[in-house]
Amino acid sequence: MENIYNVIRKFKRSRKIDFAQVETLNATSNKVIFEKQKLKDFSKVTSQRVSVSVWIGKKHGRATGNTFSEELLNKAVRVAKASENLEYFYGLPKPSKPKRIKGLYDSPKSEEDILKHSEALIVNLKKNESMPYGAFEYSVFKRNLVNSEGIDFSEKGTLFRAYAEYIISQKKQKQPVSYGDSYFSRKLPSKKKIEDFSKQTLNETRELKNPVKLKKIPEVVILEQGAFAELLDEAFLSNFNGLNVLKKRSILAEKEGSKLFSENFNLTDSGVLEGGIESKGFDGEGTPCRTTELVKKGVVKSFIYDYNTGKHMNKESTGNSTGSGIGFNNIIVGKGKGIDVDEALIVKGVVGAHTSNELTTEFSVKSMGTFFLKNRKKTAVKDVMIKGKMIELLNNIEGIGKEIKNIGNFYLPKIAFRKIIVSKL
Amino acid sequence: MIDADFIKKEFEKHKVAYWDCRYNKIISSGILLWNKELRQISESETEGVSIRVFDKNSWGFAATTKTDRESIRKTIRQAIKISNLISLKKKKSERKTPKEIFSSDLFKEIKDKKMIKGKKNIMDLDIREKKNLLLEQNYELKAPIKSVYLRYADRTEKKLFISSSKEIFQETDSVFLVGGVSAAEAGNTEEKMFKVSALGGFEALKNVQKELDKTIARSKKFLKAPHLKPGKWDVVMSGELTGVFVHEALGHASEADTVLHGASCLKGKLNKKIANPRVSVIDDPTQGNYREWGCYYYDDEGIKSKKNYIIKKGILNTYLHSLETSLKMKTTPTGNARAENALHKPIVRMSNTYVEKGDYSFKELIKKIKKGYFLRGFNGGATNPADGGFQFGVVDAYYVENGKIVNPVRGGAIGGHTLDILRKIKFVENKYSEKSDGFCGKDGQRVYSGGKNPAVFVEKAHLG
Repeated sequence: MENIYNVIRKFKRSRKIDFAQVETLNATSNKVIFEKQKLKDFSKVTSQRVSVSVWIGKKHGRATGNTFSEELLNKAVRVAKASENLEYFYGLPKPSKPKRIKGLYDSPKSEEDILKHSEALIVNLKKNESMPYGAFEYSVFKRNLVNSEGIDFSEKGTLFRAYAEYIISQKKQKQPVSYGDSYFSRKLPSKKKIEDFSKQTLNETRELKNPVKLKKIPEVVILEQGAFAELLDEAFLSNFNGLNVLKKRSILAEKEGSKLFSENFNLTDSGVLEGGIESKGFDGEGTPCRTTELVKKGVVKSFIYDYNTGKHMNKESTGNSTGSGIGFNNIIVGKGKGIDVDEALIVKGVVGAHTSNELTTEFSVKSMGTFFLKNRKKTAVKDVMIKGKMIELLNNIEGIGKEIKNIGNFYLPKIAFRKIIVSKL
Repeated sequence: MIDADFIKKEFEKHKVAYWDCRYNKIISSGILLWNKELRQISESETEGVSIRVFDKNSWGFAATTKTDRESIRKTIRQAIKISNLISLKKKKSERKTPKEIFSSDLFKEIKDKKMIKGKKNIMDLDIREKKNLLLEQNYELKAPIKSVYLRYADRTEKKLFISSSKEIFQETDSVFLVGGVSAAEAGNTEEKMFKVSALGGFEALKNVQKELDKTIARSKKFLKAPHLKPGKWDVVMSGELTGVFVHEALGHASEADTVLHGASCLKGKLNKKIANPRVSVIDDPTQGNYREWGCYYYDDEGIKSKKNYIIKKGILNTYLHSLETSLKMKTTPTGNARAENALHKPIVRMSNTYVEKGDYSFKELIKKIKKGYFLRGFNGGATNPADGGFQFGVVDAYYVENGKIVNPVRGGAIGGHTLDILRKIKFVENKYSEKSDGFCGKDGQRVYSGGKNPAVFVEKAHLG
C-alpha cells in the first residue's frame, strides 16, 4: 500500500480539504486468567484501528475503521461536510521531532513465555484463603500518526498489567474479607517482582481480617495511594483541562498564579516520564510530549492544552491531545516528608468516586479497606462513608508520605487530610 | 461477512471437542452538541472475527480484526494452540472433556436469522438528519443554566455465530441519546441528566424536547434545595434506581462466574430465602417482545434467550450462566453469555434485570412513609459482589412526611448490603414505571443492559 502521507497529500489536493490526519494503532494483546489459583483462560487478540480526521475550513469530520483506505477518507469528508463550523480551529501542528523516552518498549513474548511468567501470580495460601481471580496481561503495540502538514511519526510500546484478588473467610464474621490490587508497568517484570506483588496483595488482605466497629472518629484521615488517585481523578483533575478552563467549567478558571493549596502540594502532568504508563513521544496530534507543572508549592501554575485550545488561549500545546480531546498523561504528586500523626483513619480505596461533582470537587464515597491508627498500631475497622471537597482538603494537608507508588498512570504518595467528614455505615 | 462453509471446512481439519466462531460488524455514528455548539461528529465501521475452541477440558480463544481467509486460518491455529497449552498445565485426570453437554438439545442444529429494526432505519439516514435532531431542540442558555449537552449515538450491529451445528445471524439497530444540564447559582451547582434509548429505529427519539424541558426545570428546582439528612430512613426507590440496585448489587453477584470465583455474597445460597417473599427478580432478554434495551434473540454462544427468575418469591432460584460456567456447575446455560464484540470472549452478563411488579400504586408506596425520602435516578455508584456492599449516588431526592412529598433535597447516596436491602423491600409498585437503560462494564467489556422496573418501598435504608 502507498505511504499514508502521500495518499493524504494527494487526497487533500483532489478533494479540496484543508487538513487531514490519520492515526493507526496495531496491537497484539495476551490475557491470562486464573480462577481459584488455577489457570482458567488465555486469549490472544490481534487488532488494527484507524482513525481519520479531515477539516474543510472550520468543519471537522472523523471516521474510524479497521483499515486505512480512500473510502475511510471519503467518509470523513462526508461527515465534515455535514458538520457545523467549530468555534475555533487554527490548523494542525507542524513537525517537531519527538524525544525518545526510555523504558516504554519490551520485546514480543511467545505464548509459552507469557504462561510461564503468569504463574508467578500463584503463591502459597492458608486453608481459609483463596485467590478467586487473577489476571495477567501483556500487550505489544505500534502507533503511527500522519498529518497533511508533514508529521509522520511512529513508536512502539508494550504494556503489562497484573491483577490479584484475595478472599479470606472468617469464622467469627459472616462476610469474608476481600481485597484486590493491580500492578502496571511498561515492560514485563521479572517473575520475582510479580510474585512479590501477589504476596504483598495477600498480606494486605490479611491485615483487613476481623474488622471491628469504629468507636471514635479521628480528626485526620490518611488516604493511601489507591483512594487518593481515585478522588484526584474523579473529583479534581478535570479542573486542569484547558478546555474546561476556557469554557469556565473549571473551579480553577482565572486562578492561574493563585495560591490555593498547601505549600507542600506539588502536582505535575508528564508524558515523558521514563517507563511511565501513559508516556509517549508524541500526543494525538503529533506534538512532542513534555512535563507540565500544574501546581507548585500550592500555587496553580498551568493547565493542559492541545494545539487548538492552546492557540485560542495564547498558550502552547502541552502535548495532551488525545486525538479527540484533551487528556492527562502521567499524573505525579510530589512526595513529602512523611506523615506523623498519633491517631488517624487510614483508607486504602474508595467505592463510588465517580459520583463526585467535578465542578465543586465534592465527593461522598464508601471506604474500602479501612484501619484505625493509634500510636503507630493499625486495627482493621468496618468501612465508613467519607465526604469532603478536594479544593478545600488540598489546602488542609496534614502530611504527605515519602514513598511514591503508581496506580496506573498516577504516581503518588499517601496523603493525610484534616477536614474529611467521616460517618459510620 | 465471512463464509460459514469456509470456517466449517477449516475445522474439519482440526479435531476438537467443540468450536465456535463469531463475526461481527458494527456501524455507528456519534454526535456531541455542547451549549448549542457542534463539538464532535463521527462515523465508524469496524469488524472482527473470533475463534473459540474447547478441547481436553480447556478453552482457547483468539481474535483478529482481519477477516481474510489466511488471517482466520492463523486465528484458528492460535486458539487451538492456546487450548493445548492450557490442557498441558492440567493433571491428566482433569483433561477429559465432559462431552454429554454437547449432545444435549442446546446444541441441536439451528439456522436462523433475526432482526431488531425500527420504522426509520438508522442506516438509511443521512448524518445531517441526526445532527438536526440535536440542533432543533429548543432551550435558552441563561442563568442559572450554565451548560447543556446532548450526546447522540446509534449503531447497527451485524452478528454471525457459527459452530458445527449452528449458523445464526442477528442484526440489531439501537439509538441512544443522553442529555445533561448544569445549573449554578450562589455557589451551588446542580447537574441533572436524562436518557432516551431504544432498540429499533430513529423514531424512538421523539420525546427528546419533553425530557430536556423537564431536566432543565429539575436542575433549577434543586439549586436552592436543602441537603439530604444522612441516616437510616424509610425510602421509596424509583423504578430507575430499583433497576440499578437489582442490576449492580444483586445481578452481578448472581453471575455464575463471580460465584465460581468465590467472590459472590450469593455463594451457597441457591434455593434459600434471601429476600422478602413479595420480591421476585427476573433477568429477561426477551422483555417487551425483544424491544427493551438489553434484548437479544440468541446469546453470543448461540443459546436461545429466555426469561430467568433470579429470585422467585424471596428464594434464590438460579445463577446466570454461560456454557463455561454451566459445565463447571453441572447445569444448563441460561442464555446469558455476551461479548462486547467479536474481539472479546463471551462472559456471563445480564440483559434486562427487574423486580416483578407488585400490588401497590406509587401513591400508596409514598403513603407508607412517615418520615423519609423518595429517591429518583442514578448518579453512579459501585458494588462489591463479594461482601454485598454497595453505594449509589441519587440524582433527585425528595423529603417525604406523613405520606406526602414535601420538598426536593440535594445530594444523597444510598448504601448498605445487598442481602439486607432485599429483606427490607416491603412493598412493590404495580407497574413497570421507569427504565434503567445503560451500558454495563465487566472485565473490560461494555454491553447494553437495562430493563423496566417498578418503584419499591425500602424500610430503614442507609442514606449518606
